[in-house]
Amino acid sequence: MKNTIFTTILASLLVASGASAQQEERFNRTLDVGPDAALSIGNIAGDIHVEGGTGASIVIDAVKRVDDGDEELLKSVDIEVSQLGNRVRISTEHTGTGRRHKNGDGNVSVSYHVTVPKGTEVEIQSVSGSVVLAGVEGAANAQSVSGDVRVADVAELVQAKSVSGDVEVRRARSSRHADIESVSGEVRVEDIEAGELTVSSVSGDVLLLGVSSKRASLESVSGDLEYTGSIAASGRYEFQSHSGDVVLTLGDEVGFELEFSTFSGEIESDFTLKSTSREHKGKRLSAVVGDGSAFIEASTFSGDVQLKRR
Amino acid sequence: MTDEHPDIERLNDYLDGDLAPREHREIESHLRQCGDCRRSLDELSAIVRAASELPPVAPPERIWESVAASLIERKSFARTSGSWWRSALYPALAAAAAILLGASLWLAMRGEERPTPTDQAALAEMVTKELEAAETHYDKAIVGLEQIIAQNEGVLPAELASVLNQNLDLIENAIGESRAAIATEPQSTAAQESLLQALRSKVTLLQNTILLINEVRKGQGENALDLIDEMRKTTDPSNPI
Repeated sequence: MKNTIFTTILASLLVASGASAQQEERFNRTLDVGPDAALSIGNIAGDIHVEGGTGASIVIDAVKRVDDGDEELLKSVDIEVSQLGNRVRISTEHTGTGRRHKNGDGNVSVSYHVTVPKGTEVEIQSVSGSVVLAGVEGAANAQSVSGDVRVADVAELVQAKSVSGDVEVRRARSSRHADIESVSGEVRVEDIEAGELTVSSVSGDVLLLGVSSKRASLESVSGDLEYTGSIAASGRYEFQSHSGDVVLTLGDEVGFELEFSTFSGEIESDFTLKSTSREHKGKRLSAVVGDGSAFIEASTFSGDVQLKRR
Repeated sequence: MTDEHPDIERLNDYLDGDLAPREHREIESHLRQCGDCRRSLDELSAIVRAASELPPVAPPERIWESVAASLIERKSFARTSGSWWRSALYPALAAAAAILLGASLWLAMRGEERPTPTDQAALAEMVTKELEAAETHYDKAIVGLEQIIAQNEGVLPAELASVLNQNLDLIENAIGESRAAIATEPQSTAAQESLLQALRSKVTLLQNTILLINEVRKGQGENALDLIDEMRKTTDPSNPI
């Protein structure tokens, strides 16, 4: 294991305020890694914020907290940092026994603020806590089980996911496949350019603004799907919701062929369509706009499908 | 001859190299001047490629092997980037999706020339069979997954379990509505696609739930491989679900 340039652990800072004392312990460490590093963080409870900086080091500022003044509980939580070459792993380890120590029931949490070199590949995994990842050019992967996930200004988005939180992505690029999803939260994506894009939520809405991708798939079971952006010649776009509406707002720079279907909703279009077929009392529409070079398929069971001109 | 659009079966034979040389040349000649048929051929090629990567329709055991592989992989520090709560399940989802792809691409294979009534009947029958096969696949997977989750009831924190259950109920409702719609309008593609999407969503969410259960169990100091063993026992073909 490579030696760190320097390691600094500041003295514990204990903040006591009466019977319901909150105790904190601060942790700081700096690791020299160079421009192309890889960082992974695993945390059970507490927020994580990672951002790209200008230096060649990974700088960790963490705070352990217990809300009920249980010093033993505070001591049972360790922040483990390991480094292998330019790869760094940070994990919160609960060394105590019992469920209270393991899953945050005892109101023990660790929050992280980490600055990394811009080119760092970052993977964040949180159980309970929000995740923010911003300003990195390496592969970006941010996930939380019960917290919100926010990703911004990343050059190689891989995944942004949450089970019960919202997911928000802004100003992201991905040369390959970007996967963005939530189970019960809303998913909002603004200004993204990706080779291939998959965005989904089970019960939340999915909103995409300013999209540029050759392949995109949007899904929700009960949420609405909204897509505003460009489409690429020979691109393929799929939208599917069970009870939500599908609203597509497109320019007319590129022609496309469309297949729209709804079981009990309506199909509306601002575009002049060369209809090739309309079946089931207007519930399925096949048509061509312009040269028909891209393909768009939109399906909803009980929602409407709306095609709007940008 | 070259002005006639070859039907799907002939295109399939062309793709497989099963046509007589003369017929092969005729279709080749037609494809050079017909964009619609070239597109149909491309889509057919996609189906064939997807099918070649498919395990049998029955729930593939390698679903669980890949889950296990992923979880074991997670124990290594030098792991590759990937989801800790579901990424290993994509092979299975891809297999299921490929079945769906097959059905939807057959549906999508329409140009300006409409199929003849005989073709339509054959297409409808094919789609119905594809739908039934996909449903069988998903239903088997769902039963197995639900059994694993039932065996691990109470492992997940109550709040998280509640969120997952609410979303499963929502998906179940979508499945019910879609099936009811298909019963009244068997050829409704919106209802068919909605059913398949809902089934796929349910499988995905159940699989994610199991991975979350496993994460929590690991967090509680239990052996992560125990759950994988349970999965294998539950999905062992000699141990009917």
